[in-house]
Amino acid sequence: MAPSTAGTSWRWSGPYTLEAVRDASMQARQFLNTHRVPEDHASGWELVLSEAGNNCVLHPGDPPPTGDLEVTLTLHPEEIVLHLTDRTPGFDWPDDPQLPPEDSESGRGLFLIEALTDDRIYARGRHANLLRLSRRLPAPLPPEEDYEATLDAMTEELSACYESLSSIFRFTEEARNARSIDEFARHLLDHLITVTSADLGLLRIVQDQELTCLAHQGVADFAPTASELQAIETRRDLWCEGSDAELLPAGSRTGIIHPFFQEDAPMGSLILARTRSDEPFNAGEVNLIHTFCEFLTQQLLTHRHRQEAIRSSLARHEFELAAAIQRSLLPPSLHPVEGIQVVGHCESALSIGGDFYDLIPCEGTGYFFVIADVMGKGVAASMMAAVTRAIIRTLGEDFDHPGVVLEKVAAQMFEDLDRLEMFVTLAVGIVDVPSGTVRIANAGHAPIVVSNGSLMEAGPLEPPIGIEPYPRFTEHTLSIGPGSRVFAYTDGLTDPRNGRPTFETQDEVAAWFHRETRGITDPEQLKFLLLQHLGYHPTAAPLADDQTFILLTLPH
Amino acid sequence: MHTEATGDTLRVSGITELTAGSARDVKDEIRSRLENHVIHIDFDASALSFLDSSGLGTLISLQKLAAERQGHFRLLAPTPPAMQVLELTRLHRVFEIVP
Repeated sequence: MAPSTAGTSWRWSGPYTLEAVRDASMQARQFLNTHRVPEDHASGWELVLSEAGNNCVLHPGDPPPTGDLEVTLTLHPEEIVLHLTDRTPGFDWPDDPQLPPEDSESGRGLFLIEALTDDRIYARGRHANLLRLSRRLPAPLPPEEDYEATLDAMTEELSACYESLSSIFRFTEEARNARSIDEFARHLLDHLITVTSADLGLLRIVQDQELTCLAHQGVADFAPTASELQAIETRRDLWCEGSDAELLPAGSRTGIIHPFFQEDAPMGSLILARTRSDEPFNAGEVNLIHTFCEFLTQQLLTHRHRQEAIRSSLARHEFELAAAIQRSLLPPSLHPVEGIQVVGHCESALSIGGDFYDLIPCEGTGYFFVIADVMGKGVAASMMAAVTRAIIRTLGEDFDHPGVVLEKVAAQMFEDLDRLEMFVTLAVGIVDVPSGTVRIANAGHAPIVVSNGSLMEAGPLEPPIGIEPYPRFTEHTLSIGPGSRVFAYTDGLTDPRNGRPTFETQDEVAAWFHRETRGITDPEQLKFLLLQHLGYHPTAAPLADDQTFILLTLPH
Repeated sequence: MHTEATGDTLRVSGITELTAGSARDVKDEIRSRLENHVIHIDFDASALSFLDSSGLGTLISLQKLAAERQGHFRLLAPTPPAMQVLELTRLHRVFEIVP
């Protein structure tokens, strides 16, 4: 028998009736259930007490017993013990109770008691009998709960929940009206300090991968400490009490560093400390701290999404502006001059670039053409393209000498381009029908292809505009005649990032043009063939780089 | 307790406890419902949450009653606590038990 130590007891006394015994057995079971005794043991004791008590009731003797039946059920850590005292004549407890014949309607009570207990002692006395029954528990019972403490904790938690909820309602409204996230965070911190009875607080958020102070109260801002970084790295609250309070701002006696996250991403950290008390924050207050930080996280995300939307809207506006500038640079459809037919094409990439072309009729001579690519994207590149185009347009008197045009453009633009760290690849040329030549100057641009039965190219002999302050430009003079075609393009035609069929090299461009379009002088037809080769479609996915080209043809 | 005779079978149900205190009443009540043509007894034990040794005696008594009439006695769907007592006393081998 396991040694019994003092345990929790249930006591009962009552008359010698079957109803009273049944009532007692049900109470005993309830007692055992309350103390989390395993179900099979609790139901077993219910039956054992019934059997033992009924035995006394059904065999009261003559005269019937006086007084009450008395029962004590004691719960020890490792066993349960039942004491039953009765004042009946008693009986001789058999050493080994056996089951009666199967068809017997009685005689199973003692067997059940025997089967459901480990030890039995029956002491038959002159005035009273004592039955002691015990049964070991399968495992020690869990320690008893301190219900009062549990109730206190629950009340505290409920109170904290209420406080959190009402604060969140209030701050949701405030978040809507706050002029900035800083202002909102300041109010939130003030309120948190009040409701948690803290004396100081400092709230940081992760911004551009650095911890930045968003709000502080009761303490001046200071550089993030190793403790804050540790809390974020370990993703755990850092409790600072006793000597650990040194980890907190000076004067702190107790406090907490709470890191907060959005899924896996660290959002910030909160330091909250007490300077006038050693009392650490209780569970309810910590709950409040966590809830407030979660709420702040959501507000930060909302704020960032809003900022992102504004940035996106500005970017879209810039895109539209840049696209409008780029469109305005392109000449309208032009009439033939001296028999020269012209056509151009410019398909903008998703982020507007700085491609542009220009075709300027020169009556009596032919056409002056310009093709350029400003390094860079967006409004800046478009603006620089507009400036380049405007400067060129002012140099009409020099159109007969493309090299001079480029020298003047380079001289005027070098300072600005140099300051902006930009450059422009630019090729200009004059198709001079009376002289039967095309004169071309090329500043770092893709070669201009001239096909007049044989293939000629005017490649870049000098660097792009913006590299040197006063460069000299060499002119290519190529012969043209009936059926000649001039083809100028930008590097978008050979850019593999465009995700469409492109030419791999500039040589391939020239070879294809010469081979596949031989004899075709209708510029629209040439354009069609070229776009077909480039996989152009009005609804195709946007390009990564602009594709721009111009075609000038002389009839046969 | 609820009894219902269908043909030659009496079905007994709704008993939550069969104890020393209730055994005699239950037995008497069932006897009184047994008309001459009823020979079988189906004892629905699906609500029986507590069964003691006196209750076992009642069940044996009812089984005898059915046997006297050349009928059978069946225990229908006994609850786990009732089944535990039947097994402890080996009476699960004696009664026809319908799960």
